[in-house]
Amino acid sequence: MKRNWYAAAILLVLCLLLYLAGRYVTDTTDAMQAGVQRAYALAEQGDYPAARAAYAQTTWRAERDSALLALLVRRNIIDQLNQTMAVLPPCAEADSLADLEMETQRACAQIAQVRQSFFGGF
Amino acid sequence: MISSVVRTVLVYLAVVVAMRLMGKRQLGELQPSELVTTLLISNVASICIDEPDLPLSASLVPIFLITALEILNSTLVWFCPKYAQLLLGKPVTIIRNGEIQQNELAQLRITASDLAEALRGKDIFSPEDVYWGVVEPNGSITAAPMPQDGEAPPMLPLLIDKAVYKENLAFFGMDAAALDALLVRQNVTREKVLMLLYNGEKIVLIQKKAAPKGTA
Repeated sequence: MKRNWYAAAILLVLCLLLYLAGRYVTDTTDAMQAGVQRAYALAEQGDYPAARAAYAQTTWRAERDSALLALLVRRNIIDQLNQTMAVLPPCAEADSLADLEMETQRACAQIAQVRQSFFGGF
Repeated sequence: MISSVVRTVLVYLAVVVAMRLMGKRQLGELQPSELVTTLLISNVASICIDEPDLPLSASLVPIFLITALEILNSTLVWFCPKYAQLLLGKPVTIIRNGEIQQNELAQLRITASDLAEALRGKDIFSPEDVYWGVVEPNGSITAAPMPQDGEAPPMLPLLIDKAVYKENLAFFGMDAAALDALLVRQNVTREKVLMLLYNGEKIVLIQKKAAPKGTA
């Protein structure tokens, strides 16, 4: 009954991979969300250079994680998120706080979409 | 473009590995559940080639999941004859001693022309030349020719892996009690019989053996 062992091994590997992929998606999206919110908090406090740096760092991390995330969730969601993240650092200025708030909320919604794309049920 | 080439190669390899893991059963004439598995795998495999937007895992994970389920399902079929009968069905006799069983044809929704066509495909041009014709669970028609003068009639199954072929028993004027009496004379029980064939003259009895480890 060698094939049964193959089947059991396949199921085990699939479960392990799904668990690890789920952990990766959760950790990555949580880190992105925290990064965006921390950067926005800095901008609200008026520390725009620090906010720009925090947004830039989060954007860089999001782009770095895109390659692996694209193996797990729809690519267009990742592309949309990266586009939104790319406009965040230049918006961290005193005269564009309303735009920054809108784009930050958009980024948070897209991060939630990434999570939903992996964990969504039916 | 490069991504679709890479995806196609990976999905091709995954499907080849999956079909190999499922074994030769999957490559021959398909039973209903195997047909479903094969159709599902072909559809799932094409998803991420057709839609580059979808992640590769959307195809690879279901392919290997279906493969594992199919292997476990076929093992369950092997271990549990009742489940096998439920899942695969039983062969249905449609010609008995040259006579078409019209009620069975109607139940199977096989027209007379379908039957004639299937018989012609086996170089049989009249149902009267058929001793025993059956529709197998995979939909193919099998026909045993009428014995010639002095020739022994073909062997018909009476009991295969706990499944009793009542219509064949009736053909030989037997019932379940007569079958059990026959088994008692052979010093076996139904559970120990892998295959019992009979042609009215001769009995072929094959008993179950314990499967050696690692042979499946």
